[in-house]
Amino acid sequence: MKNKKIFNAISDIDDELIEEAKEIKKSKYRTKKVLGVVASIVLIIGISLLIKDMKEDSHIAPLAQVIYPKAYAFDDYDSMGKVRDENPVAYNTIKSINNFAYKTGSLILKEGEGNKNYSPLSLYYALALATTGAESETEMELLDLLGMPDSKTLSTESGNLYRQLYKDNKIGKLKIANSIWLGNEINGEPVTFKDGFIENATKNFYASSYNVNFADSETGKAMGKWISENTNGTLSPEIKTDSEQILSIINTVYFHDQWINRFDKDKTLEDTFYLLDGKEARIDFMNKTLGSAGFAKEKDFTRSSLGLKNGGQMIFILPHQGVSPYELLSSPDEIERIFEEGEDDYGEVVWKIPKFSFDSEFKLKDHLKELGIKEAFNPNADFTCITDNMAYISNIQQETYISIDEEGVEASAFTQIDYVGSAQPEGRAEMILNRPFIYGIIAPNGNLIFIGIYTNPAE
Amino acid sequence: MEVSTARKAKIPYCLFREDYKKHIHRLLKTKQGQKRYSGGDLLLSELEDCIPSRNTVWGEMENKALSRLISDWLNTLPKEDRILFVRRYWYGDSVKELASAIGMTPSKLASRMYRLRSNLKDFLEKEEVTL
Repeated sequence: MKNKKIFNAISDIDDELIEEAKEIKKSKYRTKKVLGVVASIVLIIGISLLIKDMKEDSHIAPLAQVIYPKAYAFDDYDSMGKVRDENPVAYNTIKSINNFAYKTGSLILKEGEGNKNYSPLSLYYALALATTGAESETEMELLDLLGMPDSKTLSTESGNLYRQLYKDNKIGKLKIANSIWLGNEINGEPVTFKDGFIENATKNFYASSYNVNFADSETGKAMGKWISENTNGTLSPEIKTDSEQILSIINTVYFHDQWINRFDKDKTLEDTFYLLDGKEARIDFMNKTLGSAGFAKEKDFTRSSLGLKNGGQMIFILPHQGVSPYELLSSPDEIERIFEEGEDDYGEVVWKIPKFSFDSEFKLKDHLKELGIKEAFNPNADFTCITDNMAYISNIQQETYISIDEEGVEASAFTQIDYVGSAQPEGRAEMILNRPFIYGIIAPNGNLIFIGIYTNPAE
Repeated sequence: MEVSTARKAKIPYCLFREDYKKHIHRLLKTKQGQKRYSGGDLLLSELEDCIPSRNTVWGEMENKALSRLISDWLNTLPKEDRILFVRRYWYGDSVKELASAIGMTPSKLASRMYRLRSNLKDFLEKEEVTL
């Protein structure tokens, strides 16, 4: 029929037109201020000098203050489109960051036991900033791992990506914050830093710069305060500095958003979570059923996702009974497979998710060495774009916090009133997350912000 | 593992939107879905207004090319008209819902939608489209 042909043609109109039309319903939807998903991380790279005995008489002085990009409302699609157009990010950059996520994620998450929440995006930003200060072999190794051709491209793409991802509205927030802490002197002699590095850090990495004395315990306190301020108080680590340090790069990611389809609190019920060691735990589970949603059933896992109001999504991967989540995290290829591969199906999806929150802490130096970063940790490292003094990276650590609960918007401009129970389901999936599972939080552009594994409610 | 660029671009980059698109079109094939989407039959019958009447020497137009033309036509419209058309025929919103969203009576909106469909018909005829 000819009208069907018109109908089919309309179904394939440009995605931009579909995106633009999402906004008409915005005024009809009620929003809630309580958070649905919160996650934050801090990552610290310390760069040390081989010289000791610093004086303890300095104070903290900001060198350059960052002006963050203009924030826009979660449903301001015009501004969102404009920011995207003005700050293009190459497909290869998104791909490189996700490849980095799979490589590092596998190494970090497959080891040991317990809950882990890792932010590949945060580590990528911190290493990218360090890379812009590196030269020769040190720079090459870092660029190889980050999958970028040169420091200039890395800086430009990082800046554009930053502006694309930055969110700060009444519904949610995605804020990557960087800071550079520079030691001001060694043995009474001032340490000179390169202006070009500071300028680039401010322009493309939105990094605040501080001039400090690392031998002074107040410096550690100031760093802890900066972290707390940039993670909305979710992280307040005690930082201990030492006199050998000349530079610390601190990166934080603070993220919160709301489910498009919130969970009904009345349906949150206690039930049993089955641990890998055969033990059981009684915890609260959030419950809901989506009338028709996407899912993928593979030979060893089932995957489905829940939409977030600011355009991202949280993906859950539930290993089949008898399959260890660690098997699914055993290599970069495996992580890529569980997040990206598989046939998508549609139908009723029954959700049962533990309410959870936990902290993670990672020491990342050895993992990065395993991935080919050798020179940066070597006393002969070349960071001459930062300083002419001999400097190398002494430690890299990441701390994270994640929390999920029922809250979210009751309905959204995008999907929810149409999704729930509106049709006879064609397929069916059960996302009964009552045994260890894997999750990821994905930004609207497809970049993995967090990857995690949840194995033990007792932690 | 080598994965094609197209596949990578789709998942997870556009996963959500693709899900939604397929979901709507599957729904419209079911009776309940048609009811939910204010009558799949009604949607289809409205679209008859857009069918160009003249025949040309050209063969039937491929769906992709027709989609391109409709996208081009939508881009010539004022923003509100463009959104209304996409909401009605892509998202499947009812006339009543749309009217309420933009503060118009349903009958006035129905007239506006009719003018849009006629406009599309003229456009397709001008482009010498044969279905």
